[in-house]
Amino acid sequence: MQIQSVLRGIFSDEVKDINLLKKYLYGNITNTELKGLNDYDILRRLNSDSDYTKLLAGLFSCLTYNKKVYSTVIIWFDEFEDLSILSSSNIDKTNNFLREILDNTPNNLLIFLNLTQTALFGLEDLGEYISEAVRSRIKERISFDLPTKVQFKDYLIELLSFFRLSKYENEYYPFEENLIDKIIEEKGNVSLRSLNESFSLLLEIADIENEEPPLTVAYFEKNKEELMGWKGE
Amino acid sequence: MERRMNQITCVLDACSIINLIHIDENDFLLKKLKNIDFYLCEKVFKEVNINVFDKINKIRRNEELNSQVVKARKEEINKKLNQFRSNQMLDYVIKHDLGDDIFDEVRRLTGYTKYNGEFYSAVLALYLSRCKPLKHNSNDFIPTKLYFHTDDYPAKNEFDSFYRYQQIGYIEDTADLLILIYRLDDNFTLRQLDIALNDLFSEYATEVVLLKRKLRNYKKNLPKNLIRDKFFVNNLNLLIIKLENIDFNGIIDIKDGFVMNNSKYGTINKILKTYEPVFELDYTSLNLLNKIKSIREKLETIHKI
Repeated sequence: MQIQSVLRGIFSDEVKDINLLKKYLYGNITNTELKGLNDYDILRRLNSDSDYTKLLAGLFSCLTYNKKVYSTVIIWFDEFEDLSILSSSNIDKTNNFLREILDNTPNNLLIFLNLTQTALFGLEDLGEYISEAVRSRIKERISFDLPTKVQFKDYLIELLSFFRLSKYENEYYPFEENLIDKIIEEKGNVSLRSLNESFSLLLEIADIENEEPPLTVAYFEKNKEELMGWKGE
Repeated sequence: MERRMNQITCVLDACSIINLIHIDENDFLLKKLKNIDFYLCEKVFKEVNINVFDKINKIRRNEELNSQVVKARKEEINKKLNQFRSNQMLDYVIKHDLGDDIFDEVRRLTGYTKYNGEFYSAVLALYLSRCKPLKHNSNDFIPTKLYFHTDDYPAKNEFDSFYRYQQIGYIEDTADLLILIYRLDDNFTLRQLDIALNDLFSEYATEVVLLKRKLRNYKKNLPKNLIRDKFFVNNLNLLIIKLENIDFNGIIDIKDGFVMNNSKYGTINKILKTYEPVFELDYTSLNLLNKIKSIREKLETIHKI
């Protein structure tokens, strides 16, 4: 009942004082102010995590009702591997939230849990931190392997094309292609992040030194020490 | 078999007490702690008083915590602090029994130059090992061998030989302390131990991950003069890689390298200073995080016998 009244307050224009509603949603409302919402059947504060989860579930359902305005809500949790560094009670809360939001929003909700394996969190640890109730609701696992040389070069061409002001014959401009091969070879099998870092640092150094593009293998060799220090990960 | 009060004596360092206070819920751990005879020195109690609120203040700055929540949490911490107050051993008692120059003597023997909680704890531990009062306010002494619990691994290294050569006892960390109070209490289950270990791990791991992220962001926007500074760039990278790999060996040296040149590296020093506990993890072999991880993996071997 309470949650329905709050949703009505959000979507209808009955509640004139938007700031009051905001205060209510963020849990900063005083008792006197709360009385101002009584007329709209909002009688008590949102207390438990479960109140908030139900409210979010209701909100998502309203937004995507019959796919009229929005077709779906997507929540993307980046760096979800940080779950492994939370305290036990926060791990439980996170699991409860995921389970409840999925159960209460039967349609039109898609959740991505983005995980990167780290020294603290390997794939085999997953079961320890994600409860069975959540695991059984996971529909698909997508794994991204380290990029191959060909993949990385394709990615680089695409990325650079977004920033091009005019067309160049060399699609790797401001790099020479053999420089790219050289850096990939020197770095070995590493993540996209690590390759990105090397290339952006090379660009920055070249910018400071006013080096004329395209950047060559010789220029890389000159700055190799700094660049390879950035091997990372 | 009737169980009698055990003879296990512990001296607790500030970081161990602060960690216990932070990970404890509903006074569960603090109640279990009463199963051992534990002491802390005046200096440690002062350090705890100053630093135990750091965490909540940091969260408050980052997340705009509601002031009522902050107040409630601080009150809760204050209540817990009070439980440690009565276990303080005052400096004047130590001086009374071991002589006024005992602090200088320990300084000479250890070669330690800082006047911090670890130093005063070493004097307290020496005192208890030689003349632990049999009962409160009694003049009867009982020779004791004891445990000093600290999570400050560099300090552990510095004082190890003092505890050994003076046959005072052993230095262990908070993970060991948790296992000990688990073993001494029939109502402390293996599952509860696992939760406590996870929460201790969380205390440090969170700091490590946040620091790593701060440094990564900082690295993305380095001022031009630092990009070409080989010493700086290499050490910053090394520090990030070490945090990434949970390898803390030598991270204090990296930090000190920056601190020595504060005029040039002021910004990074400010960042590192906010994450002081991370540098307590510096250790040559199995560090605290990896240790807790491996304890949890073979938890069954710890069950009470």
